[in-house]
Amino acid sequence: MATTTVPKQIGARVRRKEDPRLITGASTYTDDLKLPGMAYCTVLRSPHAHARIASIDTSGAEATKGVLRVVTGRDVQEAIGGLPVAHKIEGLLEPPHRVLAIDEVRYVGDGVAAVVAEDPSTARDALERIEVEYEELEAVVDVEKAAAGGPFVHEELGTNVAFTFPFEAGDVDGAFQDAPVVLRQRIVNQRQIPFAVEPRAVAARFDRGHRKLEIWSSTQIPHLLRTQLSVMLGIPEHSVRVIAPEVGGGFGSKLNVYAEEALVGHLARELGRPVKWTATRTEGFQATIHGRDQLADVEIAASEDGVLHGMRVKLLQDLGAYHQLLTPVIPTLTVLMLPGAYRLRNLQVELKGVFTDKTPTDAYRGAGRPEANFIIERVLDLIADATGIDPIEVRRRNFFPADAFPADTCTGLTYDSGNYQAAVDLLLETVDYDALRREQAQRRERGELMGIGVACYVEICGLGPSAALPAGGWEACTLEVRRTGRVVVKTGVSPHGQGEETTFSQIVADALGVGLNDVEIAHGDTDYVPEGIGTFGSRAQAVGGAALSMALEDVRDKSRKIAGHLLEADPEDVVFDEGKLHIRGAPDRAVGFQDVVTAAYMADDLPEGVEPGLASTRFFEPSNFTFPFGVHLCVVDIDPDTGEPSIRRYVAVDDCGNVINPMIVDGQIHGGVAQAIAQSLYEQAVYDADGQLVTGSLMDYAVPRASYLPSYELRRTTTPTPVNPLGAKGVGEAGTIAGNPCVMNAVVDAVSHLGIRHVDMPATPEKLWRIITERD
Amino acid sequence: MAITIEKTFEVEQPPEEVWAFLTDPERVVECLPGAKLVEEVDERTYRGEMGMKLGPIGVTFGGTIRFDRLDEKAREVEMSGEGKDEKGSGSVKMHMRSRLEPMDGGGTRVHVEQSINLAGRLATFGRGGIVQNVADFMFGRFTSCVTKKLAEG
Amino acid sequence: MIPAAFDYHAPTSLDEALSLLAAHGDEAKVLAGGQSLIPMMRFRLAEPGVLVDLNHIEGMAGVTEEDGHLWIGALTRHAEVERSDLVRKRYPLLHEAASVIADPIVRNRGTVAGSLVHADPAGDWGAVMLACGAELEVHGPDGQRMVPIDELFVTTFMTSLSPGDIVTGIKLPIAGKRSGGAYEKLERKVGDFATVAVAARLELDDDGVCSAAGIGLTAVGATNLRAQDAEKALIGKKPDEAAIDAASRAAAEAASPTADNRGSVEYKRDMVRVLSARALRRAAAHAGGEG
Repeated sequence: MATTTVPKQIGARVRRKEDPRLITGASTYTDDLKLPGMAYCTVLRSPHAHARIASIDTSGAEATKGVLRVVTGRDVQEAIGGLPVAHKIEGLLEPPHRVLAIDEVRYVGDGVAAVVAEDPSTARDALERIEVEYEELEAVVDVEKAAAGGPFVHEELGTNVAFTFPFEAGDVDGAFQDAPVVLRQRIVNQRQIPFAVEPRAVAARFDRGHRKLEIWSSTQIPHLLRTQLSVMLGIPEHSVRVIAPEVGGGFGSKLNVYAEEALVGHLARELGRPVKWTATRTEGFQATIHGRDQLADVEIAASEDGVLHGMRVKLLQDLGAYHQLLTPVIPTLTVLMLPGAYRLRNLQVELKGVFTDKTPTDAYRGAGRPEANFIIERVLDLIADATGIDPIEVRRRNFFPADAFPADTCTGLTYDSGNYQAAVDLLLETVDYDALRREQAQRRERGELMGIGVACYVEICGLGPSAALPAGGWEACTLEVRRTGRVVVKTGVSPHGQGEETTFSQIVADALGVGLNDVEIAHGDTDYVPEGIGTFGSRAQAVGGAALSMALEDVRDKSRKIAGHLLEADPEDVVFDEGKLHIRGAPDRAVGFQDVVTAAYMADDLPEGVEPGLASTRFFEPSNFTFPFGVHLCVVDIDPDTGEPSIRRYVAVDDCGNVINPMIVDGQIHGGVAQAIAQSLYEQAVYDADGQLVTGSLMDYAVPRASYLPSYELRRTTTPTPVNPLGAKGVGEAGTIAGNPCVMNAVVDAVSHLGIRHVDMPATPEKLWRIITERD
Repeated sequence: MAITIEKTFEVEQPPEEVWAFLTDPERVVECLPGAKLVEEVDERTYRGEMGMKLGPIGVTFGGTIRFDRLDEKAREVEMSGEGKDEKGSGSVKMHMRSRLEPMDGGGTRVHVEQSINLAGRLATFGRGGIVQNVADFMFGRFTSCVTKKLAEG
Repeated sequence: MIPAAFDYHAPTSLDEALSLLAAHGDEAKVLAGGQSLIPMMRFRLAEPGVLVDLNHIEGMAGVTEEDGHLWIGALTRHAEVERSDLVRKRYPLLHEAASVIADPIVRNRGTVAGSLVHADPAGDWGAVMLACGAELEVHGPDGQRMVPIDELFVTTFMTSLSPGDIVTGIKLPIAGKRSGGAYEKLERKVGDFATVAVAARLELDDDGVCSAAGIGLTAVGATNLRAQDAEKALIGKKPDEAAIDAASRAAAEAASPTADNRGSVEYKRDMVRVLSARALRRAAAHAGGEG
């Protein structure tokens, strides 16, 4: 690339362009939509975890004044196809997943019937007039019991195991034979409930004139949703338009195709009126995907000098009752990332995906990778404990060295670039580690409990090569320079909080020498931006930004041609410089970028063979994933009387390659670590023995508030990726991936002198109180 | 969400009298505020309603209650019931075993074990303690009512 | 989260409010801050047919010392107690409790009296008022009466008041020369219901001997509880470590918690001990005693 301008915006802490409208309530979310003639939909949900539907009597609801339509699963089974699962898993069992249950319900929250009424209150009242007779069946709640045998969530399958995914690399038996250090540990990633401030919402309108269905949805993936709705509703894809207006958080929970999206689309088409459905918070807890829920039994073989030689992992993924879009794929990412930052050569994994009568699990911030990193980083601490070597030193001894990149893992991945030791070195420059250890020893003398936790991570980002993903891994961008000089970027990566309107504007500003406010980022409307994959897997910058870079290069090339013509010079000699194009070495012989734009549209004086206009559409297909990395450290104090843990200090060293906007990267780390702290110390979805979700509201599910989070100290190293022209790797999930083991290693460290080797998440005060009092 | 109650209470009346009371649904219902019998399905099964009101919260369950076992010799009664929240958003299942034991001096000691399983709306709230407290309280009211009614004859 | 339909009345006088309650009986609920009632209505756990909103009645809010007692008007918001200089200086127990109720948004709307009569055992004011020996001024169909706090709570969400009653204010004994108090609360996170909390109040005589003590417990029973044996363990003694330890153990004995997501019975009981000791130590320090 012939970049001769000095980057000014890339790398600057530019304030987010989108924030003023978001924080002053001037933006439009799906639930804000009020279309003429709009009707309102509510869904009746199963109160039982597993039951046969003996009968449904909708007559009371239908007779309610203001009710327009009541449908059950049977009523819509012809019109709406099953919910999709996108995967490449051999032999996956795919029981039908209807938009409304037919004959049997399989989790608390499973949809049973839907009402459309003139207003939301009537729709809600009418739900209570639907009479459903249930015959309760035994609920399958415990994942180990479910894996071992009946009863079955889907009786017709004769098993709850939807798939097994065996993996073996190297000589695992050899590694364990005569290994001086052999350890066993059960490591659980408890079930989490994603919590976006904006609940899910869908609105739909059927344009009878154009035979076109328009869907507004709070989704991370408008384009994939368009394709799937076309299939489910039997409408040609070109007759479906999906719009993702402002999306108030997703964390993976909106990386899906949900029943209500198809249901509302169908009802709008059938009734000939716009229909809207907005999830209640209760539906947010029961009928939006959950995350994590993995149980791992790990065996570790290591040498006395702390080198990890082999691992055997039995991994059970609780799938919940059905597959959602990526449900079975998530734990396969766990398998891929188990080696972490380390040269593990011998690995055996037996993964089973198991149905239970619970809400389906799917992608939640990190999606399989926090699970993997929690396992491997706990393993490294277990080795440190068993060998008496400091945890940081154990990591140093197992790292891929800086000269190993591109580095192949035993799971078949190639880490693009990295320098793990450099990140640790920066951490140790930031923190006086030895002083912390001395302080810990002194506090222990006084009966105080202080722990220091360190965790490294490597994450798989920039998803990814199309061959490795179930539904395409490229990204598209259309760049249009309007005749006024306004630059419009149409991107397929539809953001939901990532700040792409700002970072993409920064990239454009530097490439074309225009102001940030001259750039407009269009996204989230499949008619306006026809192609794209979406924002997830830390891919917006690494893949979407890369497509933008390619389109910018086209526009720069064409601009140089036009400028060269206007300046009567060879385009090869024309350089971009702060909004001007001038001849190399002669800054006075220049035209403004606006002159070039005007010439492109006036078109009466263009060089031969150059078309009018100034625009480009490009697709970027990454050759590999990207692999950001880093190391986090935290200091945890535990109240010896109440068991309450508190995080005193949190230091993060992250390397996400080149950084477009450091402030936005900081924000991503802050949010990611917050979600990790939430999993480590507070949040857990709890089902009782009958499959009732007893943490089904914000009163019961402990989402932490800001006052429980420390002030983060953030540092960065920069190791660009060769995979894309920006050199950016992605950062959306790093904090979550590093944070869990970091916090939990500190918690375990705080009580390690009491003989404790592992503590399950969340490390609640009571768990720690038991450890402390049982020791007393 | 399951809760259990195990209680023992004593009354002055002899076991026969207590037995007659506790196996007569018409009389038992008098001591359950908010409850009423709607229909006798057969001699051991009844349809009814059970209202629960505590402060601002009100739930009405409609369903059936059944004497599963009436062992007069052993003075043991087993009952089970199931009901549906009239709003369709939850259900309750109950099982109760009572045993009467004669006391010296002619009175009766009544042992009761009851288990209650809630599904749906009420079970969604993790403050299981509240439901337990309410059940304990209602049970306390029931026993004092039974004691009073028996004394009245 | 749409409540069932209800009728709404906004009386501007107490008499009007009382007649509305008299007219609608059991169907009506009083709306003050609405921080417990409205969520229950949105979950449709509560479906009152009529709401009588007291917020338009003048003169029912405020915290003042008068006639030898502290008066808290029924519509006084938690935040008003929290920010009151009088309370901060002379009633540390009230100040501390007000500062840890739920979150700032709830504190701005929720009222002290509303929280009391809601009778949630996890409510903070119940324990505080038990520790203080407060009385409620109640207006009902038969006129005005005073209800001692010890006679208020029946069980969870149930009080001894009748549906036609309206609480108009709370009367607390005025703070003595050497008095102190503290509120200790353990919660999973800000805004959550307490796992356990303890309210402690001590009065010392000129010799530093405890002349009066109040200990109230939150979230460890069917109602807020008063730990009378714990109080007795302190009265007539100097609040030293031994006395505080004995009182804390007695408080733990007084608790009858149930297990839930917030903790087991054993944990909650031990937390009553731990928090009682902490609260009493600080109360004693406030009062200028030893400890």
